[in-house]
Amino acid sequence: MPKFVGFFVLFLLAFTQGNAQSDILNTRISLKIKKQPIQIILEAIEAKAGVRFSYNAKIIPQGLFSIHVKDEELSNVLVQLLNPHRLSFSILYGKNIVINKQEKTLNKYTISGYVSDELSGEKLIGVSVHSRKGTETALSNQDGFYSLILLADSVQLVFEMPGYNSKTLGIKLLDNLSLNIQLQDGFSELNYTISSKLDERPRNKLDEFHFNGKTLKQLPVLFGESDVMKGLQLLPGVSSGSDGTIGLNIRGGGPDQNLILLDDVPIYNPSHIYGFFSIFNSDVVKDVKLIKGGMNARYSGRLSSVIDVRTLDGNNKKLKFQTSIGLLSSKITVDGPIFKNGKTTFLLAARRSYLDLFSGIVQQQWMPNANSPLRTSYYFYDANGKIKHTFSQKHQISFSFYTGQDNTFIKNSFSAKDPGKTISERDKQTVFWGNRVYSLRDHHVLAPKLSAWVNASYTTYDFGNESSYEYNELTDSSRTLNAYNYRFISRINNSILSYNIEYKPMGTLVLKSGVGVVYHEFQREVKTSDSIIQKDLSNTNKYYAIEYNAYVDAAWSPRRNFKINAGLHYVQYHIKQKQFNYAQPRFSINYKPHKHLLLHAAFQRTAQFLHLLTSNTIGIPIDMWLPSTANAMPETANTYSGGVSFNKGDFVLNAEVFHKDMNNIIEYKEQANYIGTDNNWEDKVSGGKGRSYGYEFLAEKRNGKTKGWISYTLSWNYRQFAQINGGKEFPYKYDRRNNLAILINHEFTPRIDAALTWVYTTGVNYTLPEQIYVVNSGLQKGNIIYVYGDRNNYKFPDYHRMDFSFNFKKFKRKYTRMLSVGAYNIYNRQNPFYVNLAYNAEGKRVFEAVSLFPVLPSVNYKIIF
Amino acid sequence: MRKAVIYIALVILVSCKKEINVNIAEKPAILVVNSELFNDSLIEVDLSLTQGIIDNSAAKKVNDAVIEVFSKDSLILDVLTFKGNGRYCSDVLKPKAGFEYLFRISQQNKVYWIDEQMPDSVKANVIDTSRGVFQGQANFFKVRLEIQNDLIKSNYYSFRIKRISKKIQGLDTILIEEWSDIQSGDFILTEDPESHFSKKHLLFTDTYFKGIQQEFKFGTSILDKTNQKTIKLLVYVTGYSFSAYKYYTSVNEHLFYQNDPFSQPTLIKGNVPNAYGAAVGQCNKIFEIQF
Repeated sequence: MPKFVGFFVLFLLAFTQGNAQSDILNTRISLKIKKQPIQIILEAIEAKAGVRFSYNAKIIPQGLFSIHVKDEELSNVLVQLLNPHRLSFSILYGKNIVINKQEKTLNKYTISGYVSDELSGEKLIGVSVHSRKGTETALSNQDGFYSLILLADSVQLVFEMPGYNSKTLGIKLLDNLSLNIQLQDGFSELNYTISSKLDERPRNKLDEFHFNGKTLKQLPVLFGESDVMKGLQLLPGVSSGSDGTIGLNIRGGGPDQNLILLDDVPIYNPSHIYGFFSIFNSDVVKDVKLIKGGMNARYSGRLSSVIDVRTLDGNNKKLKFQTSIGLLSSKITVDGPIFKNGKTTFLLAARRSYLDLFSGIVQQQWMPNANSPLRTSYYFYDANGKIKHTFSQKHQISFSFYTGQDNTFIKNSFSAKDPGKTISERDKQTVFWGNRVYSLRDHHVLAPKLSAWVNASYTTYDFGNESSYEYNELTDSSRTLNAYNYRFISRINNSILSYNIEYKPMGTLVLKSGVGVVYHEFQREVKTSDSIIQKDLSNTNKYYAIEYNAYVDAAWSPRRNFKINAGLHYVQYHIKQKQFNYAQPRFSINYKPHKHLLLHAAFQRTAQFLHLLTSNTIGIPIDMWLPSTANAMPETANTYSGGVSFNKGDFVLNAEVFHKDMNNIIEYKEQANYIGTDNNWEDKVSGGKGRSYGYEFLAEKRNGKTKGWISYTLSWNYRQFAQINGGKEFPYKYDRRNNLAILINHEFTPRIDAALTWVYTTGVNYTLPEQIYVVNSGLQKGNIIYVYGDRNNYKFPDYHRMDFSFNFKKFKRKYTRMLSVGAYNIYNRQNPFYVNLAYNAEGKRVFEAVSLFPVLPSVNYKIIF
Repeated sequence: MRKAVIYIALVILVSCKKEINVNIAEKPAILVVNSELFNDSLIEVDLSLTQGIIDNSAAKKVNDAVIEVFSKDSLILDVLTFKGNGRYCSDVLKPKAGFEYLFRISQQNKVYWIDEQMPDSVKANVIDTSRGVFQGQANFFKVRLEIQNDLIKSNYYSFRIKRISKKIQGLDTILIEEWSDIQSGDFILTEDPESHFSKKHLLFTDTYFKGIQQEFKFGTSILDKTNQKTIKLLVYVTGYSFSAYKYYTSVNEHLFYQNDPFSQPTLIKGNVPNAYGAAVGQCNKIFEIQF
């Protein structure tokens, strides 16, 4: 054991006595006794476990007591029976156990260690660790590390985690203790066991929602994915734009106001295929946390929420291989130990779509004109990787990466042969976007109460457009070559370094603190070359910004039913010789007046040093990330929330209310449109404010064969800009008054399960023309001009959609296979993507709704070795 | 680029169109003024009303208005004569380059004022013309032209090219007039953000050539077919008033984005307070190039 931890005594008797003695305390017994003296109960235990107790009758309390245990280890039974009466036990010899009084003055000791998956060795995040009778509770952090301070005593230590069988250990604590625990997967794909009581952990915050890899599997598997972002859209307070849109709108915030972290590194565009897939490969996702309010002071940089996604470290026991083949894409994941000792693990995963292969075949069938083959196509790919090395129980280091790209293109070619002359022409237009993330993380346990981690990371997001044209004319006497090339790239790079510590000075207090620096680089680049006018132009526009940040956060539980979180995040942001300073206080309070009831209130002030400039309607990948400057000031927001949660048995009922004020948010000014390659973007935007408020409800059944939830949000969401809509307040485009989502997951047999989701939301707001007139002069004569009313004056028809999937599993000795069959938009609802003014067959002007994504069937086959 | 993204998205993601009913609020009709004031041409004004967005009837003309024209110092110069179907004309008054005019339109107890400053006449000369290849287009017509610019104030210009072609249809020969797309690699013509919105109507300012003689190179593709041949090109060099420049650039921008569902509304910058449209001044110089 590590020297600095110190000497400890663990009275898990199995480990402190000989093998025979440890067998005694590991003996499992069942016992149900009501209202009897302790002596009678001890006699019953003697009969069941074949042991013999020795004790002084004077120390045994008088009165009648009850005990009910089922197939429980003897050590746990004795802790449960004796600990409340300040009695301890130890093996005297053989099968003789002596019962003594506990010492009156008890010291406090720290139990710390890692919690991991029993099969894969994967460190588990968010495991609740607490003593059954005590007030102290700890959650394992992003490295699976927990630390808990308890009185020197015999305690029952409980480890709980959704999707895993909970574990209870009887411990006699006489010194600091390093204790690593492995939890058994409630449902393992390789070693099939099932428990109907997987999740008994009470949710301790209302503003947070937590998915781990297991709970993600409750979602429908469509096109091979139980998609993280689609799962988050089902939660109260969260809505998406519409089909084909990017990002989430959380409590009235824009899609740019969510801090999306992949292993602690920000991601700027979480979507593939115009929002149909997220970039998060469900095979590598370990844990997802959504924070809507009262966020920890550690987080900063966005106004509305945090979506914290953690990836798997890799199996440290054996090599694991899984592959999945679907209609749209396929993927492969390999992970395992690099060396036999399991100290170094790796994980590699890759996905690729093959729409480009299909579209080529389809277009060849539809467009048989070989002389003019117009081709459009699309593909995406992504890859995740991680390598982790455990130097010791106290020191781990990992390196992870993500790279992904979407590519769309249109190309056209033409060729003709005349006598004496050959002409060929080729043009191609490509649009591409992608994220790349690299992260190095070092986690160190400095002392049982103190751990630290360092992050060094780099993230980049770019999107661009390339056009090329080439004309070749070959005659008997001459050759003409004309070529034109254009390339536009917008890129954002962040280099991040941070140092964080977590310190637990006492059992009821956890302190977190850290410092960091972020270097931002915004780049927009245009390159053109033209062989006719002999011109090569390159225009690069760069902004550099640097952000220094520091935070401190305290979580204090003065009583078991009362917890306060308070923190402060401070940022100093520099750009173009301009400096901004922002102190962002955070506060939340949780109070349990009754064991089934939780009251919660929170406040957060947040600041954001980036703007996402979107077109007025729907987010598409060419939306611009821009830095905060003196003219486009950093955005700030205050969010207030409060709620009540009722939790009994398998059921949870949550009700929350929120109010958010946002400042310095930006929009295009009226008459200013897509900024394209212009560099004077600051002149084209207007700064303003926003407000949103609403009510959120969640009813959830968390366990059993049928589980799922219903969420409903009633909210209002407005924006106001001095130079837009005559300075009048107007509804935000995603002001969705009603937002309802239902998720049902049912397990028919251990081998067959199904998931169904239904979402209903009020339509998005849209600015439609109300009148027309005709231009009756000039070159534009005869054209119709639209007269617009107020901004966002109309709503699209309501959005609703149902998805479902069936999973058929087969468990073999060496592998598991799963066939998923499902459908997206099962009843083929035509939800509008946009509304256009068009002319119908009779030549009349009408409104026309254009929708994407009709019913889309999905078949996917997955195999895991 | 944005259109490319949307187009590809729609092709890939299988789009579907459906006519929908939108309950549009009924708004009162507003006066619309359409008038181009050419130097040395009689004044002509067209008046109509706005109509509901899905009102498919013909434009509603205003036939009960009175239009008076004043000089800058409020001397009445003329009262326009109603010619029917919303059209009002002067029988005598021709605006002069560089002069300011006031229009008073009275209609159903409402009065609208327009204040318009006529631009100066255009001093432009064609240096030479040629035909060649441009960006892969063979038989491309190029023109080199110079403008003598006035230093005193900001000036606003446009280039347009009208193609007159002869089309043989059986025994008949038909003359076709159409505005051509203009292309240019000229910095002044391509860098003005206001000029991006119409290829047929290249608007620009004298920001880069105040008080000097400036040469321009631009051209158009001659799309001759077997039965259709270009017989001449008319190159229009137009000087605009400030309000004309703002009006036409905003109209071009509005039309450019009109069918783009992802753009925000672009508003027309007219010069008639409390009404739509514009009465704007311009001076044309036309060069005829025979083929």
